[in-house]
Amino acid sequence: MSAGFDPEAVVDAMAPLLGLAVPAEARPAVVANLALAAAMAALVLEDPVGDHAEPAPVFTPAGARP
Amino acid sequence: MSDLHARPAAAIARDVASGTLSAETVARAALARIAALDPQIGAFTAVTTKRALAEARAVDADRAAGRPLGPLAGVPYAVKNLFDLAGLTTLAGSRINGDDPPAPRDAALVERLRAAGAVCLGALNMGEYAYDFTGENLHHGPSRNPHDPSRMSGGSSGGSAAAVAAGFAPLALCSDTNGSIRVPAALCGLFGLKPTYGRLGRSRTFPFVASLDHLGPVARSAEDLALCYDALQGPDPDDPACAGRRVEPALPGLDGGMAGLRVATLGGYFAERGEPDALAAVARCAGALGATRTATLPNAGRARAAAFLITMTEGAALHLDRLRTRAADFDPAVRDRLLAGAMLPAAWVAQAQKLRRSFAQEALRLFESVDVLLAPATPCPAPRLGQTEMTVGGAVLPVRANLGLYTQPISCIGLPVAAVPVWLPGATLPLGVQVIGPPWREDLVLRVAAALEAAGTARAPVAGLA
Repeated sequence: MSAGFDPEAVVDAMAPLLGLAVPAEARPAVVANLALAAAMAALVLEDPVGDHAEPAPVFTPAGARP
Repeated sequence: MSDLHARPAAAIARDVASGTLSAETVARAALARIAALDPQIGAFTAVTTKRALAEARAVDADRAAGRPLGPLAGVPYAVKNLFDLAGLTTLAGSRINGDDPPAPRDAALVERLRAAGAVCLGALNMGEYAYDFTGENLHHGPSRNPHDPSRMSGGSSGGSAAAVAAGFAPLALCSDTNGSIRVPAALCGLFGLKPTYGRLGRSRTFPFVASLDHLGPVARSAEDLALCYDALQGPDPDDPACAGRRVEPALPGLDGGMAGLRVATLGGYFAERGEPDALAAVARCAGALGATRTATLPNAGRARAAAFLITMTEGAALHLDRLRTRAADFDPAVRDRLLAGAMLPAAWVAQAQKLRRSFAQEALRLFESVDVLLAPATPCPAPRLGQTEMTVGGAVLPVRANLGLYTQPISCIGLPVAAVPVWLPGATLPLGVQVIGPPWREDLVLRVAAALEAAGTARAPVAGLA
């Protein structure tokens, strides 16, 4: 799913949508961090956890436990 | 009294309780050492002199009046500056939060230490917003490694580790999201405890990643670490992640030795990418414990990746408004990671949270046949300040993201870890080893840390500052 993830295109599309300014001097580092995140995502997404896997966080309706 | 700076917390508390030492004497000695030597270390961002003396005098008055004293009576400590201290602005390592009003009330764990009789010396330097493994800080200067001030203290709890290694206090409080207790403990040669996720309350500390944030202490002995940890335990109604378990003191069983404990060294991911010395430190501990078994957690690399993505996105969400309005006031190295984190697909994070659970189950299966696991804390000893790349295992890696590559998979699933300091023969810098236990077994990891200390394998001397 991270294949085809183009960090340059993500910055161009997402920064204005999020109301974020990415100054020119910051752009290479932001792009590099996105590329690193995509590499991490590739590792995470190759693990077939399946439809029924539950995420780690569990909501407790009553708030803090006793 | 010239050895006061190196005296363990347990000894100070005992001497204060017996009346052979006053808490005020201890506090004044600590404050004088900080004034004389911290300019070369950079551990503190605020020294709370008035508070320290008032708290010390209150302990002395309690003793004089025959009132019961707490287990940390007269013991000086300081806190990473993301813990609220009433009357001080909580910086969280940032310039931006310097505009906030002073905190109205102490953090929950600070209240516990105060109730135990400990004496607060001040707030400690840290990496900006805790997104850091170096201990460097663009706004407040680096916290330097007391064993070699040209080197990193480690982060993000760099000031905490520097303060304890420099002999400014026997105890300091830290936070650990991906390794921020264990990395600086390793680089500065200290014992550090990252408890089980949900063990200690986080109220009134500045957050980073709610899914992964832990709090815990660093110290120069396993006994001091256990003494402090026991005083920190208890419910926290203001922190929904705090599991509210009953207090399970670690100190009474600390000297239980290794009888009956099954220890294995983590191989695979945890035996790759590290300098030979980092792995030699683990082997030294395994040898001292008579551990010959090697075990693996096959998904450790994926777990690290999951923690990486959760950190980027939750951190970015926390700071999104500040990224819009105060971008120029961040450290660029932190800002640029947060900007990227704001742009990641939600599906990546949802999958990362599922992977956390499956990796936790993988670890629980391993703990059916082993009680404690050993792994390196960092891939190398303290890098030089300003160093941006390091060569480990033949690969050139960025320092900032990779000092925590061994700690990150473990905090991802909230396991308790004692970091223990190891000095290899002839070494001028320490290394750290993670002693990892199953959930809620802080007692086991502290017991193993104490056994390694008793064997002479782990030790945490005060740095020789002049």
